[in-house]
Amino acid sequence: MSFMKQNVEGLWLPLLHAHLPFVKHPEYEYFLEEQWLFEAISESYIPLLMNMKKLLDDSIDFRLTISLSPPLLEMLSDEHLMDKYISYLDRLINLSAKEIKRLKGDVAFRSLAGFYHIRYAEIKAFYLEFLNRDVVSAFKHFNKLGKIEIITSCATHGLLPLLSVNPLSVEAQIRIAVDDHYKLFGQSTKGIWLPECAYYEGLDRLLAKYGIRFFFLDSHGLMHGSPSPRYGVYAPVYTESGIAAFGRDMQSSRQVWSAEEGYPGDWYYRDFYRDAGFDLDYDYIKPYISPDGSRVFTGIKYHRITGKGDHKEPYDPVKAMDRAKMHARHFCTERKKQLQALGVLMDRPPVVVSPYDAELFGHWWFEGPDFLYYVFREMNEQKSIHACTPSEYLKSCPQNQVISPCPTSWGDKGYYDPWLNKENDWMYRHIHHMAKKMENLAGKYVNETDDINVRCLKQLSRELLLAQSSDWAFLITTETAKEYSIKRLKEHIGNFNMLHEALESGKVDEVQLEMIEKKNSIFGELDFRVYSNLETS
Amino acid sequence: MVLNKMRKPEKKRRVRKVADRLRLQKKSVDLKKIKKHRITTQDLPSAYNMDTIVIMPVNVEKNFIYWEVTGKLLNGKSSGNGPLKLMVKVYETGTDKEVYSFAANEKVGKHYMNCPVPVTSLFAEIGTVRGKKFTSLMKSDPVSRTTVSARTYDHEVWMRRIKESGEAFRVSDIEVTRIPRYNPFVQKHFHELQDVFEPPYSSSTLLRQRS
Repeated sequence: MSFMKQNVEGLWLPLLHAHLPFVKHPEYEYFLEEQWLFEAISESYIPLLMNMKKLLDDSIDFRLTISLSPPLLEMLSDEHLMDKYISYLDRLINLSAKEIKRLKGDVAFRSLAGFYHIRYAEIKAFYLEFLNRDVVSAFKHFNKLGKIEIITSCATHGLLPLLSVNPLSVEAQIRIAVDDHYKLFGQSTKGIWLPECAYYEGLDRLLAKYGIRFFFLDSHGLMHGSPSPRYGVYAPVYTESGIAAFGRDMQSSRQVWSAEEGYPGDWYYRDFYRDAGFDLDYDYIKPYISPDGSRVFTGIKYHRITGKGDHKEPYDPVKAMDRAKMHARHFCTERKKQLQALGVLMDRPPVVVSPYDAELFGHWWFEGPDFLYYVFREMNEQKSIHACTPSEYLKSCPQNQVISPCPTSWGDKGYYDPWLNKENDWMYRHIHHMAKKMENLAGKYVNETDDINVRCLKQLSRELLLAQSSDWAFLITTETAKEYSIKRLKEHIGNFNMLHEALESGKVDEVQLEMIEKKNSIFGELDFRVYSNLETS
Repeated sequence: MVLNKMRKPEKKRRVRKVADRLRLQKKSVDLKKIKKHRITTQDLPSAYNMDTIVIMPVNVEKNFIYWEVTGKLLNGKSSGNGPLKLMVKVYETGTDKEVYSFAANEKVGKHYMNCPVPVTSLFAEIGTVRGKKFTSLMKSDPVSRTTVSARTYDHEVWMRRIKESGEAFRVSDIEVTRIPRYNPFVQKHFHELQDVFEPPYSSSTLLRQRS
């Protein structure tokens, strides 16, 4: 039934963007940056899936849009990484058991150690028994039920406006993502989350070419569009190519994102930075931190935010859950007020689009998945606000204004500064050059049948794609994992140049090629011809 | 609830395929050898010996330009009187009106152009300068710029998707209307946008927290 005909005050379109860069190091037993994935699975993806199941079991209707980036999907499907994930869980279960013994006599902290022990055991059981080690299929399951709409992002999360110097690179980023989505989910994606929400003029034509129906923009991408959108960001627009663009609502974003006024900063919520990996005696914690002796986050955190100072009180999961409930009610009340105010200005139900990084829920904001659970519960009880997916909205409201959106991103200052500045600008000369070379190779070897050469060409494509990831530029800018990001870029550029030279000189070293294939193994079925003009014309 | 099983069979098939190929070529590779292939940190090439000029958008006021001019391209340009200098000029696409220029001191270089001009598309050109004479060597592809102001409009065009599947769209004349240039609804939210400056967002949130 159309939203127009229902007694709906407005719609809420929540979107979680799940993405991590492709990090796989089979050459090490333990690799710090691989923990990013394991932490995200335990703290965000599995708690979110558990809560979706709980909603289903409680007969609570919900709608959620989730963009699963291809690098994340590839890692979640990688047996080597998933084996390491089991070891990661075992370490935590072991540590929490050891903590229960150590904290004998300390009621508050001992019960917290018990809380973590049960939690990680539950996560492991859910992962092994319920998910059968397959996180991706769990998302697929909820997608089939119509509760979530899964959309794609770009192949390796390349920032498209900065890759557009080589149009075929942009096309390959979209095409590979669309194909990967189809391969994993058995159906075409209707929407795309553009990496970093970054748009440039003309991109909509490429999206249309690959069957994409909608994408998302930051607020100013819509508001600075031409002509100005009649309903602001509270209704999608079509671009000239007939692709719908949904604009981000600032108010609902601030309530969750903002460090000062957002919910995650509540003093009863768990403190992210106080972690057993840094707090406990070095010799005691040594088996659970990095083998090189560096202290790292373990995921076992005993304190709540407490306040602005250094003093931290013990974390109380029950009180934190009460706060999550309270914040969910507050969020729904604010949405209701917002939608009522907008409703009188519009001749259709307004839609509030709230995109967040999926990893914010659970990893950064420990109680985030529970907050979402209670928001859906509250909406289900109130009935006046409906959660919806983009496809549902467009089916219900197929007539929309046409505008040309403004090139923007959701990064700091709203444009491309975080990904192009004096710290990281050196990379683009190499990335663009690699793309140009790849196009030439794809044209030259389009009919190549020699097995080794074809494998070499595939690997060249992988190295290019991995170098194009927006994460490296961002991490260099923020000086987080800067050294690793630079190494990764140099590795992919170096591998590309080496393989290129080997291919052109007819001296491909098969052993070396296989080692690189095993390590940088993203997109097993990749066809290098996506970089050929003949193929894409 | 029964979930679909993992795609293990597919994965295994692929691994087996690679293994079969390797057997055929009688070159089995011990997976442990992969440990030798740790991250390489070789120096990057400082140049690619390929004539290049690229202009990229950074924000509403700033563009980034990088270039490489090979000796081959400069051959024959160095004869004559006086020193040879390189210069980069930036033009508005369409009108070819020059909006910015700077001396390029190196054959391989980069430059940030801070130029808040209301131009929607730009291209860059690098050339030699002798005296007052500029001789073009090559031009970049044009780049679209971002803009900041809410634009005014005379009419709206609306589109209706008339099929759930396929690509059938119809540009409608159903609601082509003339409305005032000042739209209070849009302006209200436009001002709200100007007031709020958000903390940096990125899809790398999980990674950023470590800083």
